[in-house]
Amino acid sequence: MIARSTPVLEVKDLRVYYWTSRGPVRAVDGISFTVNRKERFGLVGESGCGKSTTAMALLRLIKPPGSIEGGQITLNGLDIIQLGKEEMREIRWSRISLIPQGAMNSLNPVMRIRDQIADVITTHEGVLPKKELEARVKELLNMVELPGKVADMYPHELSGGMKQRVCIAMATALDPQLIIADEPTSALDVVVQRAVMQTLMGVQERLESSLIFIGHDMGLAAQVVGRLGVMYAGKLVEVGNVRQVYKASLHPYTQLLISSLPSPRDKRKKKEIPGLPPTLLDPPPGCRFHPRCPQVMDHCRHQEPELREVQSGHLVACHLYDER
Amino acid sequence: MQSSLLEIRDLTKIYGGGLFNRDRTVALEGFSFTIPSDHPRITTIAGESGSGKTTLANLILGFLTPTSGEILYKGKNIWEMPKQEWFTFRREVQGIFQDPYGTYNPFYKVDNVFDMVIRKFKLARSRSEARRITEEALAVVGLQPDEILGKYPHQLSGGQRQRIMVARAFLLKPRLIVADEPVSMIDASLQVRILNILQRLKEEFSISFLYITHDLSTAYQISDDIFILYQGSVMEKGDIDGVMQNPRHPYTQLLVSSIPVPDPDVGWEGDLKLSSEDEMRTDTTGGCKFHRRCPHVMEICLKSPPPLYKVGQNQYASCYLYEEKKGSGNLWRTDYDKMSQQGG
Repeated sequence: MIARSTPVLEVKDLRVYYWTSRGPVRAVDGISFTVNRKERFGLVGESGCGKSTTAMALLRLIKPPGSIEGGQITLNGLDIIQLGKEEMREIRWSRISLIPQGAMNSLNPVMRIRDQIADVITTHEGVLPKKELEARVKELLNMVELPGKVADMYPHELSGGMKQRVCIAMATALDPQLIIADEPTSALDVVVQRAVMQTLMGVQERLESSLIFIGHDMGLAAQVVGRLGVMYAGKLVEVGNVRQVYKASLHPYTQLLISSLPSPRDKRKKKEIPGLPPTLLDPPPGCRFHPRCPQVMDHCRHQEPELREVQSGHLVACHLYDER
Repeated sequence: MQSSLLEIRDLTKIYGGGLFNRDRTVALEGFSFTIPSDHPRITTIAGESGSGKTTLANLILGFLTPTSGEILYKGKNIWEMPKQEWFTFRREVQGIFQDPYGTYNPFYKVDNVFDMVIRKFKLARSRSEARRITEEALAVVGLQPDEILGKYPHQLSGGQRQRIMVARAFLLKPRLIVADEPVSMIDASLQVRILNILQRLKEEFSISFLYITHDLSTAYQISDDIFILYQGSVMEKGDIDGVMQNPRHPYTQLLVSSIPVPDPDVGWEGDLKLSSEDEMRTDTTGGCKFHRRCPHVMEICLKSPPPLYKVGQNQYASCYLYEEKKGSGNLWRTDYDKMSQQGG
C-alpha cells in the first residue's frame, strides 16, 4: 500500500434510516470508509443494500421519511453533516458533485444544453461575460467528447449516451474534488457504456479529482475502480483493492457474489446464493448474512462482526477471521 | 411430417411508412430461423436497443402482425390458423417479460395469475386439482407454495415474481418459451437461479427457449446458439461458443470486447471513441447497416447488404471481409488475424 495521505473523504459510522409506520428501515447502518485523492472507489452490492442511500447521504440529499441518524462525513476537513443548508448548497457541484442514476432523465427537456450547463456555472460563480461562459460550455462539451453544436440542442435530440455525457459535463463543470456516479451507465448499451465510462474516467483523471462509483454491475466495477467496498443489507462487509476483492475475497457473501457472476469467458454453471436478502425493518441479529451463509457458526447468530483490517488494506466483517 | 417446431421465413416488420408518412422504421428485416421439434434448444437473440429483438419476440408471440414473411408453427402459418389451432399455439408458445413488477395487477393476490390461465385453458377440473398443478409448477421453479400463494405482488421480491412468471408459463406445458430480457432487472445472485431454472426446463421438460437479451454474458451461460442483430438485420449467427470465443463480424467483435468482464485482470482493450453520429441512430439505406461504425469499411459495403458467409463449422457472418475471392483462397483469414491483433 502507498503511503496514506490525508483522504479526500472520510465516512465514519454513517447511519441513515427511513422512518415508516412499522419502525425504522436501517438502510445504511454504521458504515465507515475513506476515499483518497485521485482514487476511484466503488460501492457495490445488490438492490436494497444501501449503496444509493449512502451516495445521497454524502450530498445531504436524503429526504424525509429518511434521515441521517448518526456518523461523520468529512470532505477535505469539512464536516458535511454539520453544515447549514445554504453552506451545503454552495459546496454541492463545486466540491462534491453527483451523476445520478438515470441521469439522462434529469435534464430539463425544454432547455437547451448550453443553458443547462451555464446554469450550473452561474449559480455558483455569479454572472459571467457571455463570451467567457460560452467558452466554458464549449470546453466542457469538448472534454466529454461532444461536438460544440450539442450546446444548441435539446435533450430529446440526443442519444442516451450523449445525454449521459452532458451530465458528466455538468457534474465536472466546477472542478469538484469528489464526483459521485450512481449507476452512471445502467440504461446504456454495452458499447456506449464502455465509451461513456472511459470518458468519465478520462475527465476524472484530468481534473485529478476522486470518484465514487456506485453500481450493481460487478463486471463494470472491475473495469473502473481501484478499490471498492461491498455492501450487504446496510453494512459494509468487505473493503479492499480490486484484486483483493475479486481474486482473494474473504467474506462468504463476496465469494458467492463473485462466483455467481456470468462471464463471457467462463461457461461453467454458476453457484446460486441461497435465500433472500433480509428486510431492513427487522434485520437478523448478529451477522446480517448469517441466514444465507454456508459457513455460519454459532456466534454469528448473535454477535455482530466488525469491519477489521485482516491484511494490508483488506478489511472484512466476518467472524471467520477473528483472532483467537 | 413436421421437422420444425417453429419456422420463421424472411420476416420483416416496418413501423410507420404509410402513404403520407415518410418516417419508416425498419425494425426487423428478412429474418429467418428454425427451431427443430425433435430436440430442444436455447437460442439467444442478442442486440442493443433498437436492434429489433423485442419486435421479433412480439411477432413470434403473435402480438404484432408481420409486414412480410411468415411464422410457421408446426408447419402452419400462425396468421392463417383455424381458431382451435391458434388456441393451441397460444398455449404452447409462452412469453416471459423483462419487468417482473409491471406484469402483475397489484390489487390481486398472485394466485390470480395461475387461476386465470387454469380457467382460460381449462387445465383443471376441480379446485383441488387446480391447487395441485399450481403447487407442482411452483416446485419446479424452486418456490414453496405456502411462501407464495395468498400473497400480493408487492410482498414478493423481483426474483420471486419472475420465477412465478416462469411457473405460470410452465403450467401450460409449453413447447417454446420466448423470454424477453427475463433477468435484466434482477440482482446478480438471483439471476443465476433463474437462468439455471430455464436450463432445467429445457433439459428435463424439453422446452425450447428464445432468450432475448442485450447481455452476452448470461447468453453465453445458457444458450446453444445465438443471433446477433443490429438495426434489424442479422450480423452474425451460429454456435454460441464459436461466436463468443471467435467473433467474426466487426460488430460482434466490438460487442464482445466491450463486455465488462468481472475480472480486474481482463480489462477493456484500448480506448473506444464513438463519434456523436455513431450514437445517434442512423438508418443507412442500401449497404451494410454497420458500415458507419465499421473500422474495416470497404467500398462494396456501401452498395449492397452483405449476405451471410460461412465463417466456421456452424457460424455465419454478414460481412464482405469473408467473401471468398477467386484464387486468393483464405486471404481474408490473415487479414482478420492482423485486425484482431490491433484489438477489435
